[in-house]
Amino acid sequence: MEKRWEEPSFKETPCEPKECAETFQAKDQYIHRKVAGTDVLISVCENVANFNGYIQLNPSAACLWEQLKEPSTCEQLEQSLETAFGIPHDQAVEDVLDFLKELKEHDMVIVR
Amino acid sequence: MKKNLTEGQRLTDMPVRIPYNGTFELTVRCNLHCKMCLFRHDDSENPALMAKELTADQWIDMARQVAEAGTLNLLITGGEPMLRPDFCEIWEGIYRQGFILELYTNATLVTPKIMETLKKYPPHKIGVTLYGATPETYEKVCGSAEAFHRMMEGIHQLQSLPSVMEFRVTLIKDNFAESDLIDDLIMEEFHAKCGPKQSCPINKGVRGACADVESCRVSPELDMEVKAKRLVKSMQQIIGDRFKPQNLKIERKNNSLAVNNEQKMHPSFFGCMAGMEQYVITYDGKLLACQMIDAFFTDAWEKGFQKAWEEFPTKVSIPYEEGRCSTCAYTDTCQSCYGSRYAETGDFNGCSDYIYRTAKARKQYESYFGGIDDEKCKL
Repeated sequence: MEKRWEEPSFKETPCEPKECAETFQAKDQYIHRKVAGTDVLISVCENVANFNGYIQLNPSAACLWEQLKEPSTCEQLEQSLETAFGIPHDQAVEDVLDFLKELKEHDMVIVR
Repeated sequence: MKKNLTEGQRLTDMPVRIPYNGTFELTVRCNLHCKMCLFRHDDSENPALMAKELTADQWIDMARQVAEAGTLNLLITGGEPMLRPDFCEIWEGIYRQGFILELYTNATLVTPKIMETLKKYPPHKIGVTLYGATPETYEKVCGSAEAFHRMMEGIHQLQSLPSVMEFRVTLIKDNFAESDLIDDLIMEEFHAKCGPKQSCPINKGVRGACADVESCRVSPELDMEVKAKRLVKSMQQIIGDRFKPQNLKIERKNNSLAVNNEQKMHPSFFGCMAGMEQYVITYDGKLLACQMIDAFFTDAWEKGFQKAWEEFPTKVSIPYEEGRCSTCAYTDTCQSCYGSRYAETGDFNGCSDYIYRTAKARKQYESYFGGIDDEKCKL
């Protein structure tokens, strides 16, 4: 069958199909707490030498980290951001992807 | 305090103070008997001290309270904290609250049980004190030759943890000749990246400590000489051949009561962050600004940490003495603080021959470097 030409277009999908099926869970080598109103993750256990001991989280990262205490899908994470901050769905998708990328790069999350 | 404020005024005039940096002094007891120890009491006092020590549950609850109040960095120290039979229980309970934890120890009481706990819950940093490079010197300084072997074994075990390790040394008459050997031990046996931190000057005992520091400490001149050489050596290790001591310029920061930093005034009680951002909880639950000064305190266990922290400013009263040091030629190199002056003389504004000679010796050894930038050093 002859292929019809179409104008090239890009359509961003909410996340990769593989990632949609995946769940993500925060590793338990970090303790999330507030220090003078600021969210921080303290590196603990075999992770103590990383990040000079702690990482500062902004409010959206803190929201996602709390959700990640339980195994969560991309969709659930996006939903958390949309509910907590009233942001558009597309922005939530982008933010979740970026955040998960960071967490995976630093080996801070379990992917199943 | 410069002004005589009422209690109410002190609280309303006080800027926001957040207790970021805490110290938990689990005990002032120690298994060693170091001649220059600032805090150790005579062994005959141990039963009375133990009766006053907070229990494991109380320490864990205190950790919960200080975490809630905003503490991020927490130092666990003593005396020797591992002397407590419930050390593991306390450590685990504190650890789970989430702090950047540092542990000070002499490394002579590292048991398999303690290692099991620390492997599961490693500190971010361990500060180890070393007193000599031979059993004979340990016997002279700490009263136990056996402690040397236990320290060696203990440090090797602690080095299996992912924690950063820092070595500390205090030189007195009995171990002064071994200064280089101690450095060699640290660098060669323990493969440290840099030499030890040297406690200098050596302050007299505080808060009822029994040590006769005056009789065992070396002269300020000798102490400063070794400290200056060690500083140069450690910089050379870090920087390499490019490091030239004569090219160094020394700039001094103003350490007066109100520090003008980037046009912002930062009030303080003692010319440092003690009582403003840092505090100590003593073995019996008192809140001090600094482990050296027990003249001003609130009861953190009785009142609860938050209330004790809030009320602390009302307890501080340091007589202000304008011009006390104005005739001294070494004010710019004098690093004495309210704590060290109080320990040395019993007077927050006092001076002693030891303090004076330390400042003078520091000036002499600073001139060993490239010189002092007089303009920048004007206070």
